[in-house]
Amino acid sequence: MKKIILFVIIFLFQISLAQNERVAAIGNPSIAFKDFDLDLNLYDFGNNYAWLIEDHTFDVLYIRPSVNFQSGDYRRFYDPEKSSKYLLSFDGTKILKDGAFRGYVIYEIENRVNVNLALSRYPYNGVPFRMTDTTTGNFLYNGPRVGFQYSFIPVRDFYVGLDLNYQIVDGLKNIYSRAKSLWRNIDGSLNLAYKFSDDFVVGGKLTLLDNKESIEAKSEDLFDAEIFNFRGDTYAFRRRSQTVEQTYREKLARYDFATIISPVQDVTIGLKGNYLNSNLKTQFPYGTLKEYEEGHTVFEDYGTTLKMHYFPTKNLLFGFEGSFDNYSSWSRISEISLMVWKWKIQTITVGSGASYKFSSIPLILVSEIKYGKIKSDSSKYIDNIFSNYDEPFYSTIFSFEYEIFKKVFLRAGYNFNKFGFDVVRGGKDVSLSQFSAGIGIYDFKSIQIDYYISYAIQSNSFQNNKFLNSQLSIKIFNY
Amino acid sequence: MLKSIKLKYFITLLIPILSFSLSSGCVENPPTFVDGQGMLELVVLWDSTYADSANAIPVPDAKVIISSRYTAKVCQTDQNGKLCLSNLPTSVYGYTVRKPHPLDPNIILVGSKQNVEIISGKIVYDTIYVKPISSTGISINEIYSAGPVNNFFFFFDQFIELYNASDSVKYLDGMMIMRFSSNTEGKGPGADEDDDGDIDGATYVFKFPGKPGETNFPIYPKQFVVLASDAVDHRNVCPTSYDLSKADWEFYNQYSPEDIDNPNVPNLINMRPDKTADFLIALTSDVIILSDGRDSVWQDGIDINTVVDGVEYQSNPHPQNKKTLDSRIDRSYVLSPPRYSGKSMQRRESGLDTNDSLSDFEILDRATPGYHK
Repeated sequence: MKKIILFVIIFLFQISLAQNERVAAIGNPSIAFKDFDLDLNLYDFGNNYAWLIEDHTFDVLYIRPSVNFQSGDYRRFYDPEKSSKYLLSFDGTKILKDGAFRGYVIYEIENRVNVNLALSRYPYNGVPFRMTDTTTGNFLYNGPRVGFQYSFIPVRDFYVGLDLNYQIVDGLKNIYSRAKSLWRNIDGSLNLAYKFSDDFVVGGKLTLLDNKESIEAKSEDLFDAEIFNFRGDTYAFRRRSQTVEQTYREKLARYDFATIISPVQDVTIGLKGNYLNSNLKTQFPYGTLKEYEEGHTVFEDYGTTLKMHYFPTKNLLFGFEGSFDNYSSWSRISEISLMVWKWKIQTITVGSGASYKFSSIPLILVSEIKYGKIKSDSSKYIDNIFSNYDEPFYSTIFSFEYEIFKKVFLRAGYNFNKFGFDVVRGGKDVSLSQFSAGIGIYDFKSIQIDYYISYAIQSNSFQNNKFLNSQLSIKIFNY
Repeated sequence: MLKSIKLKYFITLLIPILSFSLSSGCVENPPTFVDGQGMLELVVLWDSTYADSANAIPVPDAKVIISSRYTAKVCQTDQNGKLCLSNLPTSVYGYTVRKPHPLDPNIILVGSKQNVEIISGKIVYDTIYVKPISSTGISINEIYSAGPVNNFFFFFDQFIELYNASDSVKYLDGMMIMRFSSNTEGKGPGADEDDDGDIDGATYVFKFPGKPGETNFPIYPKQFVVLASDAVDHRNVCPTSYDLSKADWEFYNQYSPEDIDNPNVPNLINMRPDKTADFLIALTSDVIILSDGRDSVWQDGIDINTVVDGVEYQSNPHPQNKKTLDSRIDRSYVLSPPRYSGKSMQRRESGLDTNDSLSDFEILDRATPGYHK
């Protein structure tokens, strides 16, 4: 599950949930914009929580309500017609005597309207073993997510960080087969970092994840629950009973490495790499076996990113980024040990940008461009469907932040993306235009308020999707 | 001092985490072989001379029903009587061939084969010889067991429909209708437990009045006969149900103090005094047997050579549900409709029984008591 979330973030970062309203309001620049959450350091760039103690140096509490709507006809067979998501999060950082602690609680409610047949929360997670019923209905998901990060320095220049996250989401389909989904995720990481000097730090991270989705189709009236277990896109077998159960269980291990170097003054370079492998088992009760393994899927990903910040003058920032990522997976039917699907996606991206803060007027302008290639190779053996794409994509961002009154900031951005082939939804020549705007009011003693709203249209030649996201943040200092 | 203790704790924590991570993070090798590469080359032949299979001729444009756990697929042979299917997933298949006789529409050419294992990457060559089958006797034509759409567990409108597919009058005198659902400790309901030529596990045994050979209760050519659990208009209780007040026969348990008896409908009566409940069959999986009544000693099993027709129905395909009825009576089973769906199981062609219920029967959205849709 985590894998597909990462995957979606990579390709749809423009419409993903923003954690930082300032960055989201100006279109989510990631290469050449300086922000508290976009520093080129181990924490922001390398996601290394050992560096929390260096990145977060003051007590702060964020209270964030947000809403996200999505609708449209550019969708896949099992996708909902539209969905709405509501989140409320509390995210606080406390500086302790010998470390830094960050903890959060998020509660989310998601309503997916007219989900076609699919009963699992993520039917397009790269796994061919899908559980479906025979109706199109609404799914309501809700549940909390909690987690913490803790960072400390046991010996001089040696940083240690730990994090643990837990999420449980309860889903319910409103009509036959009245399927219930219980989605549970636990992940944690051990983070290490060493500061050789102020200009050279390295970090490593080990993440372990355990994810489980249990689905139970149990008709509340007297009908049998009739469930189809798909192996691929074409072939399915039927299971029928008053209660039909299925479980998806994923175990993942991920290794990250990151380093930050400042070879000369005004230049900072970040380099990171990761390797991930996970296996996901599709199981259901069968005979005397409580968890008969129907299918087995293995994911293996690796990637690397190089990022550079250069400040030729105090007000000008040039940024450069290059990345390579490889995602691959295969699935087998466990009973007969035959491969059903195999796919691989490779992305190469280069990008650069600049941001300039005017001295004469309180204005920051940002512009970024990215260009890349997505190579995908899919072999759905059981369906006898084979595809191979090697298509370019590019994205541009133009945005600004203007201080209209003292400590009141107005922000807006526009970004445009074009994909030769959209590996997420399978369309060709897909474009994504997003308009975003926001405001920041910092004219209070210990409170800052930020707000953003964004509207995006994703379309191919004859279908389109619309996205509307909005988030408010109340930042309380020294709480 | 404090820092060194912290470091020691940290290293102690790190070693098991890294060990676990390395052991769980080993990448597995993908399987060498892939699914979806099975092939079937089928030739359908008909020995029209009835003498020597060397004279067999190909059967063009025959309907071939290919079934596996992945559902059924209907195909057609080409002009040479051949059918080639490729990219089949690995599974156990069964196929049934049907084609109307070129001269006599009352005869159907039928052939079938079950339990053919098709493995990905291999080609299965097979030949099916069809035989002319005319519907010549009484058979179970429709079974309605699921119950109507309702939310109060109503399923008392069950019925079994018989059909005389022959051109002559047949007689029901002494015939028995049975439900086989015990013998669960052995081979299962309807199996020949000791290989002694009979089927075991009868739980309900009802019979038509009279004795075998008597001629008091005729069933005329092409006539449907509806045997209702209770011959009443069930729509008065459940609007989605059926009117069975005009059923031809009614199961009446004379040992039950409360079984409904419609005086206008003749009764099949219970042969087991220890069973005091009405004749009801399981909603989604059961075995129904019609026998000629010559062997009425159900305790030691019913002789197979007295069985007129038998049908097994199950809720899930093989191998999720085990087939139990002896294959001499029914080589497969009907995949039954969901409970409380109002749906029914009916033969595709009236009375045509090839002893292969999977392909002989289809599911109807609404039951058709007394007629064929």
